[in-house]
Formats: sequence, structure tokens, C-alpha cells
Amino acid sequence: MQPLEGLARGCDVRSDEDVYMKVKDDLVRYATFLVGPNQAEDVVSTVVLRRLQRGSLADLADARAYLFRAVLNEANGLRRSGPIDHLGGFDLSVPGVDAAALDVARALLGLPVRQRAVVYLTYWMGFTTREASQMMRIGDGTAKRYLHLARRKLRKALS
Amino acid sequence: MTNGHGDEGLVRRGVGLLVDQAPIAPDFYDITTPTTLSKPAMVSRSPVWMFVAGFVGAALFGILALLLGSGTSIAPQPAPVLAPGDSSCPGTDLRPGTMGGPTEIVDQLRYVPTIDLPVLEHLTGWSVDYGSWCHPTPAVAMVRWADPGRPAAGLVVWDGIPEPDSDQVGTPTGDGLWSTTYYFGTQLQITVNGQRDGGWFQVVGRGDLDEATVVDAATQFRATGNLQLDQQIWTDVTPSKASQAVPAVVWYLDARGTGDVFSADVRLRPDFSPEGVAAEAVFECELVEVPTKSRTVIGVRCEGASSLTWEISPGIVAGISGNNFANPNQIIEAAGSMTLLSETDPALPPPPADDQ
Repeated sequence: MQPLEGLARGCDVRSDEDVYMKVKDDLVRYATFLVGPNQAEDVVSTVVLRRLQRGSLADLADARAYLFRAVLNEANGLRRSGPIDHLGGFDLSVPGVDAAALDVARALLGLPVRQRAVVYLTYWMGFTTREASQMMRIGDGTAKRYLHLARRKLRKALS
Repeated sequence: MTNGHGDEGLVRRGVGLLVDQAPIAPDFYDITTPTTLSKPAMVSRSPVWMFVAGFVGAALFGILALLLGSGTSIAPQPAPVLAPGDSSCPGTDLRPGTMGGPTEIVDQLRYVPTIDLPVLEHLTGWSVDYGSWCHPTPAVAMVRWADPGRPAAGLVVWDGIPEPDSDQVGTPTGDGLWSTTYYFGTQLQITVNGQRDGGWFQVVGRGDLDEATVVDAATQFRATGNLQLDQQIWTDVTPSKASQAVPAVVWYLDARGTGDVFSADVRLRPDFSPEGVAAEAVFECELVEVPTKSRTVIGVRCEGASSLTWEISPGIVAGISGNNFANPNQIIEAAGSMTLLSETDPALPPPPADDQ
């Protein structure tokens, strides 16, 4: 493991922790949605550690957006780096769940990572596509296209 | 989901089903404390101890580098030959069968979800992922148009994943190739700029795991051609007059194929039609959304005080082109035709016909 530059420089570790504490739950939920619960912690740990090796979280103009992007990139890389369990550790045999929502959940697992990300940011976090595109640092039109493709696939899967 | 919003609650419940299974977020000190040491009990939150922990981590890393490689550098180097399944490198994700064979690579290439790639679109996601993070493996990617002899213009290779900030990499090598050497974990972004005709392009990869194992793989992607301008122009210009102020120009871009769309500087091209517009005019433009039943259409509404000299009659095709200045690195040009309608046409157009 490489030393943490932030520590070696004596930077404000407390601030880093503060920043992390504010975003950690959102990050893990986001990572879970992208890669599944089995690897979500690893994804979050990797991106936070990588950032700390480069500098403080507190130095980022928008740490949340940065870390969300980094989680998405890491998730993207993870899914391409080799075959992973399709379910990613999700348990879809939850009793008492309405069948339609379960079908949607299964269909969501079939979406590519970036389409999943846009779905999460818009449907779950309530962002507009413009806000989601800024979060992902992609064009507004691209975000709309991802959402359109995701909806189309969901519609097809559910029909 | 018929209109993208009608079943929003259902989609939210589906998302919630998955999100609710999120594990507890790791503690900050679980992340920042080297795994060879236990967390807070052994490393206090004192900056002094944190510094010591970092120093010890550096020493351990140095020793690891000495043991694993040539011992002279921690920079990415050609990988030593490892047997599949070798787990001698702590923290690696080596598994039998992941050392890189043609089938594996092709599978990864096929994973890239985007098939119809519009201009301006970043194709993210091509990588040669074998080896491991501590045995970086050099690989070469070549990106070229599938048409024999077609110059590589318009294809730009970027890296940057997994870091959000990207730098352009790669060098045109002639014969329509872009080539770049990169290492495990670096994935390529390919930007297709300003290709009016579109076409198929290929990504060809070669990885040298060792001298005896050379892996070639290729795939190709479709880049659609020009921006699909679905534009129409309605003005209240009287064609017989030599010069008119143009109060509003509206046309539409289909959001499904545009990527980043125009943001400014849309102008009529006087050279598009031999008998066409004699002077060009620059308009101030803004994006507007025009929802339809099955798609979201991005409209660009341009309203300018510019005057425009017409020497054409209604029905004659003129040209229109635009640059995207939203991102200076992605300047594109797109051109399409439009038909000037007479003053009897409505001032504003209806939304484009729905495609359902």
C-alpha cells in the first residue's frame, strides 16, 4: 500500500473525514446500484483512497460530484475487467415484494453501467437530466440519450 | 413508462429494491489505514501516528516493489510472466483464465454497449485488462476507420478512466491509425469528431503479456454520420426584399443522436446553395426542450437582431451549420439543409412528427 500523501503532508485529515462522512452513505448506495452489494464497499474504498493519495478531499471544489464520478468510472472499469456475477450479490428473492417492482429490479440489472447511473441519479436522487449530466460530466444530450435507452430497455423487458 | 414519467413510482420501487441492499459504508479509518495494521486501536488519530503509518506504508511498498520487479522503479513496467491463478501479488485479482486470451479480450470488446455511435460521442470503454494492478501490462490500441485508406481524422483517443480528468493520448501513426500504449486499468475514450459521413471504425488491441503471448483483438463500431438535423425555419421574411431582419429561427435536433448539441454560433452558410444566401448572420441561440410522446427533442431557438440579406425565394434550400463551443475540445461542425418558407407559414413550427 502506498503512503497517503495527505497524511505525509500533514494535511487536515479531520476535514477529509468530515467530507467522507457526509457522502459515504450516498456513495455506497450508488456503488451498490452500479455493481452490487458484494463489491460496493471495495469500489468506494478504492476511489476514496485513490483520491487521498493525490490530495485532500477537502480541496475538491465539489467532492460529492467528484466522488460520484469516480465511483462510476471505477464501476465501469470493474464491470469490464472481467466476468462478474450477474446479480452482483443482490438477493431478489425478497418475500412480500410486489412482482412489478421485482421485474423492474431485474430489468435494471440488465442495463449498462452508465445507463444505470442516469436512472439512479434521476429516478432515485431526483436530479434533472441536466443536473445528472453535470454530475457525470457528460453532455446533457448524452444523459438524455442514456435515459432514453434505459427507458426503452426497461419498457421492452417489462412488456 | 409510456411517456418516461408515468411509471416513475414503479421504477423508483425497483431502484429501491436494489439500493436497500447496500452494505454499511466503510469507516473512514478502514479505508485510510493500511491493512497490515489494525484500525484505530493501533493507529491513533494523532497526526503524528498517521504520519508514521504513512511512512511505514511507504517502506512496505518499497520493499514490495523490490521483491516484485526489477527493484529500480515503481513505474509501470512490462509484466513478469505469471501462471494463471498466481496469487503471489497481494491484492491482485488474478484468477485462472483472466490472463488474457483472444476469447476473453473479444468478450470484453463486445461488452462495450454503444453500437450506434453518434458524432461527438465518447466511446468509453475499451481496455485490455489482463495482468493485474501490480503487474501492469503494456498494450497497444489502434483506432482506425474500417474503410481502407481513410485518414484517421476525427478519431481522437483519450485516456483518463478511471480518473475523471482526461488527457489526450495517442499519436497518429499513418495509415489511418491512432496508437497508444497504456497499461492495465487504463481505458480508452475515443472521440469521433466532425465526421459528416460516419462509418465503421475499428479498435484493434494488442497486448504483450510476454514475448510468447501476443493477443490481438478487434472490434468495430458504427459511427453515425452527421447530426440528424430535423430543422425547419420559419421566418416572417419577405423574400422579395433584399434585406430583412430575422426575428427568429427555430429548428430541431433529435436528441437521440446528438450528444452535445449546439450552444452558440449558428449561422447560415452562404455557400450552400449557389443561388442562396448572400450574407451570413450569426444568431444568439439557446437550447429549448420539446417533449413529444416518445422522445425528447432538443430544439435550438435562435433569435437575433442580426439582419440577413436574402436573395432567394421560398422553397429554395439554403445551408445551415453550427459549431459547438460548449467544450472547446469538441468543436464540431454540422450542416444540413433547410427550406425557407414563405411569410404565410406560421411563425413557430409544431413539434417534429412523433416517430411512433
